Amino acid sequence: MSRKNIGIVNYGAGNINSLKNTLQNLGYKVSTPSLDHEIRSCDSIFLPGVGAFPEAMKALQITGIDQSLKKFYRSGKPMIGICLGFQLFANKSHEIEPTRGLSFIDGEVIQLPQTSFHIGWNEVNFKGNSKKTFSNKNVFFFNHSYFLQLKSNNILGKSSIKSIKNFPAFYKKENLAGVQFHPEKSQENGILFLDSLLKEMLND
Amino acid sequence: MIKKRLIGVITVKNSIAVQSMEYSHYLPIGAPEVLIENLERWGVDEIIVLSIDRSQSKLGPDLKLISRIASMGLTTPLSYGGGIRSLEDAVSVIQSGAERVVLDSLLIKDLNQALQISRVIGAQALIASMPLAFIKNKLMHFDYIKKSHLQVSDHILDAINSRKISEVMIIDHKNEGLKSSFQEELLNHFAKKCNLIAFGGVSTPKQVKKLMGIGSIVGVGVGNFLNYKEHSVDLFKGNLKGSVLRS
Amino acid sequence: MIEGINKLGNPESCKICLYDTNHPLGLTINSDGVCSGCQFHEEKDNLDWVKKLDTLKTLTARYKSKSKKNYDCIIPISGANDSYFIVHVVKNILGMNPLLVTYNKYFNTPLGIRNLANLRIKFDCDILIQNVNPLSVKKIVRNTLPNFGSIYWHCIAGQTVFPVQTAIHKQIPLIIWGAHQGNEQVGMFKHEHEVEMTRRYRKDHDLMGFEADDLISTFNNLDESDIWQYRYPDDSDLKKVGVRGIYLGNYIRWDPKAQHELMINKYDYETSKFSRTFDAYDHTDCYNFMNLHDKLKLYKHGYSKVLDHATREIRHKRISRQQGLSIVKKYQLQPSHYENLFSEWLGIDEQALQFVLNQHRSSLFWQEDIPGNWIFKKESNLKHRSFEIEKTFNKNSDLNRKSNIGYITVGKGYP
Repeated sequence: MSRKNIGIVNYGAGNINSLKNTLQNLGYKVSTPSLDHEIRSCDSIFLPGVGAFPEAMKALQITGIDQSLKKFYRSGKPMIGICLGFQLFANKSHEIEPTRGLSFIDGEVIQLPQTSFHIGWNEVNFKGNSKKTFSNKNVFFFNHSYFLQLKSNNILGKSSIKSIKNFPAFYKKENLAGVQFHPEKSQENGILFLDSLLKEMLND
Repeated sequence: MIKKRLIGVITVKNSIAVQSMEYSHYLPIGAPEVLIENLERWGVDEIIVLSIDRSQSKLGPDLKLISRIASMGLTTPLSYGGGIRSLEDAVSVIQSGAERVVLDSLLIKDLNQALQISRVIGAQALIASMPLAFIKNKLMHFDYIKKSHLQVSDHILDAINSRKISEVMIIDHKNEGLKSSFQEELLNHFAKKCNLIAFGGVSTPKQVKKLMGIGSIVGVGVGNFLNYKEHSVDLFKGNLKGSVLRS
Repeated sequence: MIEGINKLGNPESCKICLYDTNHPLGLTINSDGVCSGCQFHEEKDNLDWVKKLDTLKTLTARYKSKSKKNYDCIIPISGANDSYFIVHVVKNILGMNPLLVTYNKYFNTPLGIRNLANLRIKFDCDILIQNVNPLSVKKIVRNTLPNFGSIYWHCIAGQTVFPVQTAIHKQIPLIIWGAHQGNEQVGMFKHEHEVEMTRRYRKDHDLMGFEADDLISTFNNLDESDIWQYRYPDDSDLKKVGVRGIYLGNYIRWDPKAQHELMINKYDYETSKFSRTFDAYDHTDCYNFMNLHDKLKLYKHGYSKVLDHATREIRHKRISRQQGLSIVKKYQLQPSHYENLFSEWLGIDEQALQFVLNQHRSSLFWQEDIPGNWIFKKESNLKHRSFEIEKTFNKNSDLNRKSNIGYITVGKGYP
């Protein structure tokens, strides 16, 4: 079986070394594409993200990467968003100023209630296949103050903090997946999560 | 529910990791990368690297160190402090591989820069490091560059209370490196809704347990005392593993 | 070697001993100009050693085998260095029943083998010897020598891991070491920290940042079968058995010279003159440690073992700093011997060996003025002076012990 080629989309979103290393250790070929043909040629892509929504969308638009992402989404190949990357899949965000997103997911990004910060390791309550896999390994690292609000049957993992219960932590619908937490910064649990998610999505 | 964190604090001086005692006395430990790899293997919840000689030597943040750490493929959250002078520095630190930046002397020198950093990289990516002490029963803020104490600035407290800075690391600098000596009273000055990290003179699991029981505490930092025994993280987490702390 | 360690061209020197901030283990100097290592030694005269010994006795007592069907502890030994003194303390002062373990480093002198046999006979101890097959060992050396400038990686890797593996296999949790090198040289910890054995220290300082698995990812011609013996056990195994390594130097006022002399008198430890140092007690078991290995140290780090010995004696107030400087000048440029044995063992010719060695001369300390002629930038040679301290080292034997010169094959036993 030839090794699958995974691209971590490079739009200046910060450090990607942890994710790259983890994926390589899992046996994948990893690249950091930014040009259209580079993105297109990947078997699967990750959209990472650090910082604020409006800045990130601007960066995607200036580079034209947003168009490449839309094409990739339509191709049906697996696409996974992490933290801000996941939020960018939404229709719109209210962080700093109302900004349109990529509109792959019908939902909006709003601030956590009581201006909470969600920083640290937290439990994710999984639904479906993941529930058994992660029964005692369901703690992951979060670092955000905005979240993607949506009503959907495709929320496969939820998390809770004092000010809000059961907000989306893991979303998956067909070839699109997103996580609010950082699997690449969640030590063993994160590695296990990426491994099982990729196996599932690349074999569909 | 969200867990509290046991944080490994690594102090770096002249590019080597050191034990730091009372902010004045240093003993060599070794290569920061080896310490970090070890902490990750032990299952620490977060790593904070403090390069304590960068501000004084005006060298800016140690981006090379952060890049080397990042290229190890670290899967543990990393925060970095030391020498951050500007927004540009803070962004470089994030791009080099840290999740969050720690500001210390900049808070005193130019709080507006700090607030700008918050606006751009996000408050959740910002930790305020505040070495504090009681001088004649009054809570004072230690300026480690000038080596003098000043009153805790209302502006800094405002920034914290108005959520422009997500977490504050309270450092008991006088007791740093001394056994069982972190003064809990230092925390009382901060509103209950603040997110505080206690660091400086934390040397036993009993202390960790007591601190973790305080509402405003989100994490406890241990520095020197993680280096004396094997499996130190387990030791300090004690029976909090699986409940207050992740296992 | 870990990159990024700041090797300044202009290090700060300690005002008491001969170390400076370029020390490979890291060294700090306080505002009085005293280094962290000297500060550690100053503690030795200010601690309650009676209390410390009590602490040691209490700590070790709970490891004594209740059924008496197992050993109470493991002592890693070589026959040289701290070996005799540690066994003496453990048996005679702590009243424990140890299992001795040793790693065959291949470069064994007849004196070393004799001292090893004498040790286990005089103390009436059981001993386990680990022999890693010569093919793998030589393959490892053929990589570590050109790449790290080290012939000793396998020795230290073996010496530090075999006791830990044995602790797990035989379920003997307590390992008793002598001195903590980081403390004795650079005062990495204070006595009160009671620092214990950690995997981190081994990787950082014993193995120059390279564990067994790092060797296979670094070198294409080494694989699993060559290095698995040097792999540190898993944390889960360590925790299951409760493996713990302690250092006697945290509980006993450590003075190697005095300790050796006690062992010479009580247990007939034999010693030897060395060409590159005035110390006659340490490293008697190895043809290379005070020769080829020491030469490499001088090439790479700009100083050699005699400086460590001189620093030690300065700190024990047996010589002055000035005498220390002079005695270092006398010995550090002396020739190293027995390199032919090494070349033969490894299967390379002596010229090729010298070529590889020269690659590791640091330009901070060495300059080639004309091809093949190297100048040591630091100090000049001092040949003919004699020092009082030299006379106080009891040299009662010789590395070769009146037998044929050559590496002793371990397993053959001592006749």
